[in-house]
Amino acid sequence: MSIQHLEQWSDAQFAEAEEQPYYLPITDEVQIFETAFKEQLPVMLKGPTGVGKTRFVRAMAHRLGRPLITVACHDDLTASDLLGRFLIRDNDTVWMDGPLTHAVRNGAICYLDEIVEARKDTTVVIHPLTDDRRRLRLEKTGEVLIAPPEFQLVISYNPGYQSLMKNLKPSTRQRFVAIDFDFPPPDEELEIICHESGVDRETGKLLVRLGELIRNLSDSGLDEPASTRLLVYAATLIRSGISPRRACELAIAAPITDDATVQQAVSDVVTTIFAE
Amino acid sequence: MVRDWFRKLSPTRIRQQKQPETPVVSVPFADVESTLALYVKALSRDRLKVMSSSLARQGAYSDGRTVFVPPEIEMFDDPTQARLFYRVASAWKVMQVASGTLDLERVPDPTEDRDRFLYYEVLTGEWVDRTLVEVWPGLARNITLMRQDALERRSHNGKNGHSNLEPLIQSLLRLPLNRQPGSEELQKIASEHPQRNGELRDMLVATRDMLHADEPGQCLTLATEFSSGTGNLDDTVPDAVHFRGRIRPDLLKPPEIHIEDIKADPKTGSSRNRRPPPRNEPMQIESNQPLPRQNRNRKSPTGGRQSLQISLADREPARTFHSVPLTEEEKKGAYVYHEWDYLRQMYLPEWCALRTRRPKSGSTDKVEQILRQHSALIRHLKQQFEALRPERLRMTRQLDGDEIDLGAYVDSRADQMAGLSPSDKLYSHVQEKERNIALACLIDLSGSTGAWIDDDPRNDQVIEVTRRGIVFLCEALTVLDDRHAVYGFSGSTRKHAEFSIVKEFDESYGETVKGRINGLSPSAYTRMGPAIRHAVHNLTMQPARVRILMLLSDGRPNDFDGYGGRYGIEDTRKALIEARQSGVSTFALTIDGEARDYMPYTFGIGHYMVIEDTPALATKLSDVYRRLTVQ
Repeated sequence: MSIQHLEQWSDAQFAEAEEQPYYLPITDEVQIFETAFKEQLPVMLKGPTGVGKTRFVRAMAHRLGRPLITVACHDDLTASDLLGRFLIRDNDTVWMDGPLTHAVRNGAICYLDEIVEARKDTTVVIHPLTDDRRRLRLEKTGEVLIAPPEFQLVISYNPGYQSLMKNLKPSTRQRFVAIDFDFPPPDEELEIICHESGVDRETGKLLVRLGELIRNLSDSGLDEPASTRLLVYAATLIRSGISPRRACELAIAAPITDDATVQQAVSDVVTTIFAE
Repeated sequence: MVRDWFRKLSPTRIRQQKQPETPVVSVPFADVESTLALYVKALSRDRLKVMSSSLARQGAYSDGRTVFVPPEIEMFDDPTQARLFYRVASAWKVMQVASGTLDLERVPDPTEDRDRFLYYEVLTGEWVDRTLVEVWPGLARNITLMRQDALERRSHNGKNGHSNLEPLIQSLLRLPLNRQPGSEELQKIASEHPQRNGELRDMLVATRDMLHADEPGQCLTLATEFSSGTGNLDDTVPDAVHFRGRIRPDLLKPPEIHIEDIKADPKTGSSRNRRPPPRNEPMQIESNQPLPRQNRNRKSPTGGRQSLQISLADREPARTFHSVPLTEEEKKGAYVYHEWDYLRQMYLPEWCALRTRRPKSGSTDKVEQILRQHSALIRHLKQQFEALRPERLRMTRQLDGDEIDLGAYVDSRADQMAGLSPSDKLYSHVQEKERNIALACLIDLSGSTGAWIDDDPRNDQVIEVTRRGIVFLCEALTVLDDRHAVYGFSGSTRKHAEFSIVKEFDESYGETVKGRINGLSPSAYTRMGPAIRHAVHNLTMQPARVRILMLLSDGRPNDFDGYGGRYGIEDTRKALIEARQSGVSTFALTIDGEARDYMPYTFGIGHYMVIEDTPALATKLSDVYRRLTVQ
């Protein structure tokens, strides 16, 4: 039986890495990623939402000159969704590579975003790829793919959700070099906000201060503290002419919580930084 | 005494009214408490709390750990204004503490030099206004309005006119906030005051650099200068500038570090390092010999030391006890439990007498306060617990079911056409999971839970954190049908193990239970064995599929009659093994910093958690339960 492959991955998928994405290194993460890439070690990015994990991978893919394939994991993601499946076409079937298989074949960086969202039986398919075997077995086609040196597996993981159900199995997590991400220090966060939104430094400074204050509430009824991304959104609204106070309400206070009391407290903090 | 000096201030100062004929509304603290608690937490980086205090009717104050605001604001005709006042006054206090103006070594002692203190209060007040506006510019407008309001009220209040400090206060309040006034402007403002004189002008000009100084040191220098350079201030103490409140040096407490603590562990004084007080030396489980014990820093409920009892308790087991069984009298009305003697490797039959009691239910004010201060967090926990509710789940790719799984069918068909063996998991069906869980929460109520966190009396006592934890857990559990009980344990000697029933399985979480939670107080010792055995006994009577025992403790097992050291640990371990054998899962939370030495051995790896940050215990309790029971 010959297996017909479907050429479903267009160049558009690789276009992501064409322009150098902006990323401000905080510590040695760039160097570590490069080393891991060179040594063919898989990488795990840990940290809360909106601190730049995805941006970092994009920037690294560009820097290393590799295509990047991103999979947003969800709880219905099956092994076939990653590896590939036969599709029926006319009276025939064609094999379609899943994103992971495609990345292995083409020596791309495969980024499994929010890996904990995927079912546990799905995540085990990556195991043989993450140790020194670096191979991927496709049961359905009978192929065994050996990953080329340029192939790199990256997963991201948000330990903040802290649910027993949504936790990585130790057998999975211990296959990765972990890079911790946290909110950038004030100076760097200011730099990022100003660069991303084009807002002036004075406003940027106030936003950084606001972010710090709101983050103090993270264990008082907030799922996730105000991320750098939210601060950038607020800054963008401010730069486009929306009043700072309103912008923060829209981009920070409302999105981070549905709880009226917390929202009121966050609004009060906003008015402490930006006048009514 | 300093306190006497403050008692002279009249208690109703904050009720200054602009025009007596305008009706004012009263806004109670309880109305704003839950938002204000979060607000203060955010601004202070979780270093300060906010509470109401009748003492604060003379003006909000802080002891360096808590901001105290008046129980109600009765100054404005518009409730929004009153709420804003609460907010501004709290933010102001946070800045006052954060900027170092309340540092003990800086605040002058009013009993030593009253004038110097009063000048300091006025000058730092002015300085904090400016620092605050610089750091939190959003409040600039409100602070300006508050200053104007304060000024108006003061000029209407005849009494303040009697103080010769008043011209300085009012002139400073007239200064613009947004820029540094020049000398000429300062002179002009001084000359505008009806009691203008050369002295006022000189003082005002002298404040020029201080107003925009980086730190409050200049305020003190200037206060010293003013109090020594000018004539004495008269006896009238001017009212507080309302939104600034007062400095209360009599209520500012230094961290209470005992000399023994310093000797035992030099790090104890650090407030950032929230570790429980130092305890025993690490124990070595391998050793077969009784371990030498050191004095334990046990404390009475009021935080004082019970050194005499401790030294007795810390002796190794007196072996002579072991041959004496309980008398009939001692067993009367008690549950009798055996105990494990690791030295003899045998059970001592009918060894402990445990008596249950229901703590008296009384006022629920502490519980109500917890509910108000943490309302948002409790709602959040409830939401998290709601996610645990059994939900209808459609399982795809099943061998059997009520519907065909189309996706699975198409995949299978494609596989078949490609010459592979097709999967026969082609159905989906709806699964409904049942929780069927019983939980017993067992709380250490021994005397040591009366200790202040970090030994600093401005912090909470451990028991308060525990109380908060129980309230959070009980509140969160209201959204689930899990059967649960809350028990406390304490007691001294094997003859008097005490088991407090805070909430029995069949009791509902209502006023009575809240009253009992409210009344929980520390006493005596930590004999864990019998308490665990009794809780397990109650648990196994519950009709449930999963039975969980959660234990909350602040130290290793310890009792008056030699239930310490390795003996206590071995018996506790045995009790937990018995629990597991009867189908009860166990999990322990402890705040004992040295617990890592004995916890893995006693509770088993994965069955305990050491909490370094004691206040976090409150939420961890619910968190752990949620994690244990998620399906």
